[in-house]
Amino acid sequence: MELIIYYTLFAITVGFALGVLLNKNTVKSAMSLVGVMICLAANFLLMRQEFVAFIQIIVYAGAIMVLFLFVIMLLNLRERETTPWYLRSTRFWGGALGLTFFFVMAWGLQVFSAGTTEPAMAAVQADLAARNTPEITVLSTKMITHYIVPFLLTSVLLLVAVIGAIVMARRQDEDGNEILVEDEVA
Amino acid sequence: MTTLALIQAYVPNIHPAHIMPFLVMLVGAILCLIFDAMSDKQGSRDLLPWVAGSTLVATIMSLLIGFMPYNRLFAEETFRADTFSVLGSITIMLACLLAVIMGPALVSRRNIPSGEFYTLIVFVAFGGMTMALSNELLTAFIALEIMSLSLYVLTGIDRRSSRASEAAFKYFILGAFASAFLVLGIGFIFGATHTTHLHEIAAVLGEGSVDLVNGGAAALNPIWIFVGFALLFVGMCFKLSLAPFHMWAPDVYEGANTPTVVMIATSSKIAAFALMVHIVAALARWDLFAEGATYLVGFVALVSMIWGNLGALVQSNFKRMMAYSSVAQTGYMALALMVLIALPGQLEGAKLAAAEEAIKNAIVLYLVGYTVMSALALGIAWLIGGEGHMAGYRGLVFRNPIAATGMAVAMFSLVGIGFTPPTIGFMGKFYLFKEAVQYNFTALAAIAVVTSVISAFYYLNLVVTMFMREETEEAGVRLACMREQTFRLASSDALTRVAMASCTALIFLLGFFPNSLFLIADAIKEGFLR
Amino acid sequence: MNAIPVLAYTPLDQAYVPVLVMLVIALAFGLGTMIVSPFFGKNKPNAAKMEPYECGIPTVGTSRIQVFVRFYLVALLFLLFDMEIVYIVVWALAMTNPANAQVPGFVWFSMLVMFAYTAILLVGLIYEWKKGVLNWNK
Repeated sequence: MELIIYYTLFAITVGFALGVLLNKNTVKSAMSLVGVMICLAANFLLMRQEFVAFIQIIVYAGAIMVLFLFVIMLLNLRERETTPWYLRSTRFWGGALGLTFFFVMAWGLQVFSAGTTEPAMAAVQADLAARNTPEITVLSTKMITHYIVPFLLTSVLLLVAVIGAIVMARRQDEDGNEILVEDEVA
Repeated sequence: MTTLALIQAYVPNIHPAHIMPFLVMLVGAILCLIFDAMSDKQGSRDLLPWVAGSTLVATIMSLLIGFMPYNRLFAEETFRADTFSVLGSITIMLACLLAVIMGPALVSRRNIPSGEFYTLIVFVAFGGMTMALSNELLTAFIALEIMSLSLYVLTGIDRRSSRASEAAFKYFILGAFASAFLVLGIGFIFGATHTTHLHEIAAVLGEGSVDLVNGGAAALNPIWIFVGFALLFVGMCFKLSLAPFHMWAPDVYEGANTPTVVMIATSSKIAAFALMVHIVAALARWDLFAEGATYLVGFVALVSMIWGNLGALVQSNFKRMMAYSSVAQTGYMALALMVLIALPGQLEGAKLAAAEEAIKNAIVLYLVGYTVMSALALGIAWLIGGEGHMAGYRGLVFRNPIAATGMAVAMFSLVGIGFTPPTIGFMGKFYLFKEAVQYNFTALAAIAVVTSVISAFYYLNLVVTMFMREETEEAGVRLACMREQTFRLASSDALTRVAMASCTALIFLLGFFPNSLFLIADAIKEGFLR
Repeated sequence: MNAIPVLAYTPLDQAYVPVLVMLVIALAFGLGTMIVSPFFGKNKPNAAKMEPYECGIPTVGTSRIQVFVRFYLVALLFLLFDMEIVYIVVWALAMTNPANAQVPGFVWFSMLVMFAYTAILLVGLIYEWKKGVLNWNK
């Protein structure tokens, strides 16, 4: 049963991923990427990693793809009719690199996962099933007790990110009045 | 039930007094931000450097008073205060304080949003301190991100300078890559040891097996730990600007404003080195670790020493020269890091602990010395407007003898070897090389000495330019131009001069009495003000 | 014994059946209306009907226009607040977890933690607000 779901998902994911690559229209590519993200989320669910699946959908498919789309529209990319020569060779080298990466990953999984992963994973799964709690519950309790310091530090990090985003998107004119960069673009 | 009792029922190891320095910094940073957002008039914004400065001073005070338990884990085993991290934190604060002092001139001249500028400086210090004190990899990573994000923004905060924007962009992209490597490395180590706390990692590695949830145990997979450490080390090399991951450094140093360069050159390196030393101390508990990691770290140290010094030889821009010099200087410290990794193979028990302590002290002495020296060099360059082409330094001694002398002190100290009277640079290098020779890394130590001699060419070239070349009209114009771009305020000017004078004093004080640094640490350990 | 059945560790083939049913219904409704509607209405196209319609005014240019940086800034801030949601949801799961809820004082403790967390983030919001970043017409 799970294998059938897995292979179906696999086919859909690869289909969307090809859609990202082969679409000449960047907006369509970005939308295909949303599909890839959602399929990945489903894959994580299959592995019972609810939290990661949740992040995939909320953060990646939700917020980050919106950001992608805005960047694409900000740069106002048009469809390119012809590919310039330097991009043609890039495509070849990129493909070669991708294939190399794939084989290295496959080899690595073959070699390194042989020892410790499976018993460890099985133990965790069995433990969770015995305690009748999904992983996210354990994780969430840990987060606000044992890992409370990094948890609170993330709020500081987000605060810094807010400041950074605003500072970098803004500039001041000669009189010290704050204006947004957009005014120069427009 | 009181609030404190409620908190301690769930996280028993957290006590508000222990985390006092963190709270002080956070409140100070937030005050800066809110104060800026709420104030309408420019006049009230002039108070901001005082808010930021007093925050940093208050943090130094709370570190000195010693609220934190010494050499013991606290705050849910997240932090550990030892000599290295406390002295490192204080130095980070001082470097950021220098940036705050230099700030007003920059802010008024280049029309920079002042609230954000000072807030981000305080956040750099906050991230750096958290990183230096952390005993847990997740905390360390988040703290690193807090510090790096603040530095990226500070680099590009001068929105009217295209060079600054370019530098910020390069720094951000490469830094983000480095962070990805780092977090992947942490993931591998977590996967192998099932914990992110350094003391637990050390325990697991000592045992040689991981306890599983269901009570069973699995053997450690050495590959994971090696891959994890390698990735983590690559990430840290970016942050430390160790060759061959230093490519961003010259461009960022050149493009960023000088207060930010002071922090990039000192604060970020102290924090990263403190973290590296703590991680290495935990991982070195494992017998196999030294065999692989020694070569990795040794290679990086070797390449940094050679590439940094040779690269600096051909620079004509002062800040670019300082960037390559920082690559070389961190290379010397990486040498000590390598010795630290190799130690457990050579010594045991109490002897090992004593030797590790000695090497850590040598690194922290060098770090403090390096901070003081680069702060002095960059600060004087900032004061006289010598951040650009080095032709501006021609005959400086005839125009501004005090600045020329101060710069010469910094340069002699940066060279380190072979010059009397003893400076902090000499003492730092002496201890580092001594440790390397003592534990049979004579070849690398010899290369370090040779590269130090090479470094004398470019450091002393500047001294020669200042003292033995005739003053030209062009040199004066160069300095005046640069100075006009950045400099205006008399109060900031005066305070920076005071800071430079104390840096010069420190160079000689720590050069003659290097142990006085550790007296501070001992005093904090005793809790002398408590 | 669990007060909230969703939090129980159910085998995979039962766990997401409701989600699957929901997904199928949503897809069926969306696709179904599109497929079925041409069969019911009369389809008589003319030139005016085939034009893209926008408030009675003919559209100008393509729909792919260049947007302003402000959109990007808003998306960026949205991303940051989105990250907060992730943490808040996880916190909520910890607080409502029946095993934790039975522990005396845990709810208050987690409220306290979240209060500290949101207080820091509130500073960011106040800053944005006062700086006029959220003000579209500025």
